[in-house]
Amino acid sequence: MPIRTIVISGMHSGPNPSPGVGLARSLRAARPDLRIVGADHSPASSGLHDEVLDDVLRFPGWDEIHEDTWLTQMADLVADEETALLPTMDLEVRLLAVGLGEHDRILAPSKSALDVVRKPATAVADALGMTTARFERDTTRAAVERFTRHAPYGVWVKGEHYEAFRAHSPEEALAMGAFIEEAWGGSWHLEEHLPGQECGLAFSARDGVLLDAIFTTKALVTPEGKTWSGDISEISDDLWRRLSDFVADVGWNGGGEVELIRTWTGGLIVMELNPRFPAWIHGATLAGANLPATIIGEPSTRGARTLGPGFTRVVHEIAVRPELGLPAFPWGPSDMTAPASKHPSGMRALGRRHLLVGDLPVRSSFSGGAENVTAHDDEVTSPRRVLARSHAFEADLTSPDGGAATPRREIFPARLEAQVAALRAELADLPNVLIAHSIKTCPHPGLLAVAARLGLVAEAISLDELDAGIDAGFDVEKSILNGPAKWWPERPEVRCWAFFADSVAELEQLQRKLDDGFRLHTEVVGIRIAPRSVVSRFGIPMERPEEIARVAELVRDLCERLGADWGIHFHHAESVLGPERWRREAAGSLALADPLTARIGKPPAVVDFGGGWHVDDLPLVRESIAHVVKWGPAVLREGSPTLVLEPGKLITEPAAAIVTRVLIGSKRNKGCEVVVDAALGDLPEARWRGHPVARWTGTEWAALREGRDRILGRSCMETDLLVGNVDLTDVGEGDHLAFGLCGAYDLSMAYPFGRGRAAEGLR
Amino acid sequence: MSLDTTDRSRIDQIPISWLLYHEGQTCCLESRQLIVAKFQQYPDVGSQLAAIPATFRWGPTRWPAYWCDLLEPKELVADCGVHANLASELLWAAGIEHKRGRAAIAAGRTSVAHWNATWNEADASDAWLGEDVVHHEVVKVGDRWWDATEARWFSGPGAALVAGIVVAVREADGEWELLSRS
Repeated sequence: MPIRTIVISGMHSGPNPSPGVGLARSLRAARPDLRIVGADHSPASSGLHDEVLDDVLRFPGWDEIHEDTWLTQMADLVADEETALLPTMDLEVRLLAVGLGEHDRILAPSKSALDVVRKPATAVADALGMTTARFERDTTRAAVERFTRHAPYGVWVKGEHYEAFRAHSPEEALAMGAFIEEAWGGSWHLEEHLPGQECGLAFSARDGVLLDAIFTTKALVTPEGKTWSGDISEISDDLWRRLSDFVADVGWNGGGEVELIRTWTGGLIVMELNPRFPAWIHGATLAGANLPATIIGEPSTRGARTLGPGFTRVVHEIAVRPELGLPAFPWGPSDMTAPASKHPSGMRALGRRHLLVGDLPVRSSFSGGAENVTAHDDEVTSPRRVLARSHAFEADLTSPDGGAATPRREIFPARLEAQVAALRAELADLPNVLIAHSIKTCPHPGLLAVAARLGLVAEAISLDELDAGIDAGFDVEKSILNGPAKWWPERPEVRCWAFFADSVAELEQLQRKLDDGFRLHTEVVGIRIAPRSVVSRFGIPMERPEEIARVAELVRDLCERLGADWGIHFHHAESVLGPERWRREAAGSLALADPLTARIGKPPAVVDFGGGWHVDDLPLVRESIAHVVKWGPAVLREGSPTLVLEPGKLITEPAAAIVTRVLIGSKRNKGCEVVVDAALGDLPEARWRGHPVARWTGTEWAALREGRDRILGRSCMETDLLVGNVDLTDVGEGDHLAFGLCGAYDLSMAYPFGRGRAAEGLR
Repeated sequence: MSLDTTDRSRIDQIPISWLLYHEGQTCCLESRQLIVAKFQQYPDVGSQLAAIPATFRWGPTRWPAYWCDLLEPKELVADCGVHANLASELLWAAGIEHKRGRAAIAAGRTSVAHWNATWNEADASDAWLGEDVVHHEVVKVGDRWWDATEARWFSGPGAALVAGIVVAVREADGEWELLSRS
């Protein structure tokens, strides 16, 4: 029986349009006699006013529909044998598949087919002979931190059902994930952003038979990343064969779109498969390939057509249908103008109703996962994972049963020793390497003494710090001065092994100080180079020959006056950049050592790689240095400079923990929260990274797992949230908890807020 | 749109552009190091090549040009010859085989008039400009053409660039591939 009436949903046509209007235009082009009915859930869906429609069907917003009534109405629509339904909204497609099952005249894929193409689209990529971007389903803070750090281009936070946001930090990713959960329901995951050209593969199929397919390369996209223009081309025979097999295997019905990224080298990466035609599909029709027509029985023109070059969108105004009218301006609770939205009918509400369920097939494609060993990797497949990488800190904690006061800090010198030994083992094959201890990162006297005893050199950013290092046993003749104010507090004489000037002004000031009688004893006159692509207040930027010339002139002069060699220093926290970006930045920045060598007349005696290494990245340090040696300045390969590493928190974070007690607990939404007697002042890093937490069970310390609960600090600051997403099921008032990995800035930047004391240090 | 004999003859006489080094001096070596370092901050070749026209805005270059000339002006400007030369440097550094090439582009007289005036004001050669067909330096990687000025791939004759329609293209020492008249 031929289809004489088709009902198409998803009629909004804005900057982020639904496919409905384009489908209606394509079907009208193929079948002028077809009765086309536009269906939507709000009169604010602008495409309902388009004259291509013979009639419109208005349903209540998705947040108002009664599921059974809606399903009954959908079934009634297709009860007429000459009427078909073409749903175009992802969630609606899934709901129909679940609620009505397969139906001859519902032109959409089945539930089983939809299950195959869930995000991340690994099954689709396999079928098409392509790959997906790396992804991570573990959304604990530790996993998000790790994945983000290893994604040099940033990540996409993708909802199970809908929506994707780009993020560049764990904080952004977690906030967006929480938004997606709230707005759409369902889970979310991370995918690595890949630079490249956005492409699309649109296809049509009936009952597992591929009818037509075309490829688009997007030329213009909107700020939201939506297609505005693109070229249209035929797909290769090989891709047609693979797509045919896939469509047959899953029994695909209706339209579909594989979203792809084409890399610079031409490879195609699958981003996802949408279970409906794309909104730009009428562009393909205009270019000569009318895919929507094929699913209502029109023959495909593939093989007998010459495609036009592509399509573009234009903006034009149309008259409002009197029978629909125009909804008035929607006032919101703030004074912001409500923009046109893709979801005026409340699609998000449908997501939140959790009408769709299913198992998640694949957990992670993160290749580094297995290498970054944790104490709890045996629990990786557990649905509720440990809260953060603990580095087994709980094994070092003492029993709280003795009644010691809380909050208190426990120091683990053996952990520092172990980290230094592990780092030395990593660097064993490198000659001329010095490991520096960053005093600002960990100025604890006991740990300073351990570092000095282990033969680390002191790295200080002030002369006060240098004094502390010397008091702890560091050799002043091997000390390094860094930072923008290293000569503070003012002294008539300073002794160090090397200093690295932060600016041209500092080099010039040093000349003046020496003229005025300042006595400096140093073996190395160094400069800190500015990073190339990261915005930083630190370091000397050198983009032009005159800048190189000026720096070289100053360094040469100071070397002569002080009888010293010269050195170069790159620093930007590896824990912030992640290993891949760090390598690139370090190699690019230190590359300036070559032109400086030519100007100064001799190669650098010291190359300082800086610090701020993430505690999980110890196994990557050697590889990172090898990368910089290979891709950085020739002087690293051709000379034999002393290499300095300032690992900072990599070696000190595991060396301290904070033990606290639960003061009070209460219910909160779906979880609970406790207030402990520690606060953000004791754990200032809590704002920026996750800490592992352990609970004293009465006989041992046990790591806490992820959950919906949170641990709050005792202070009155809104930001005093110490740990979120933790499972506090077994935690009660008076219990002892401990935070691990507190041996770096949690130690040096702690402050006594809320204890009736002023900060110490300023006089 | 086609490449007539006048335009072909004119374009064939334009040499492929190579930045030069001042002999016996370090200025050009240093400038080259600084310039290459600007691009090598990007992690992948595509991004490095895309950064070329973003760093050196397309405009007149006076030939012969030296590496140290590029960093002299306050605003960094370079023509398609410099762009293609820089792209070639970065491609070699990445170990990617490629060939320099040239395209003839039907740009239209309206555009040509502007470029003519700009190149003359800069005292740069306007030999690349015909009445409506202009010479453009490009790079061939595998069987694809890369426009280093527009930072985009193109398929060859018939392709649409922002500058105009490609009517012919050839490797530096190859034969012209002409736009089919059909």
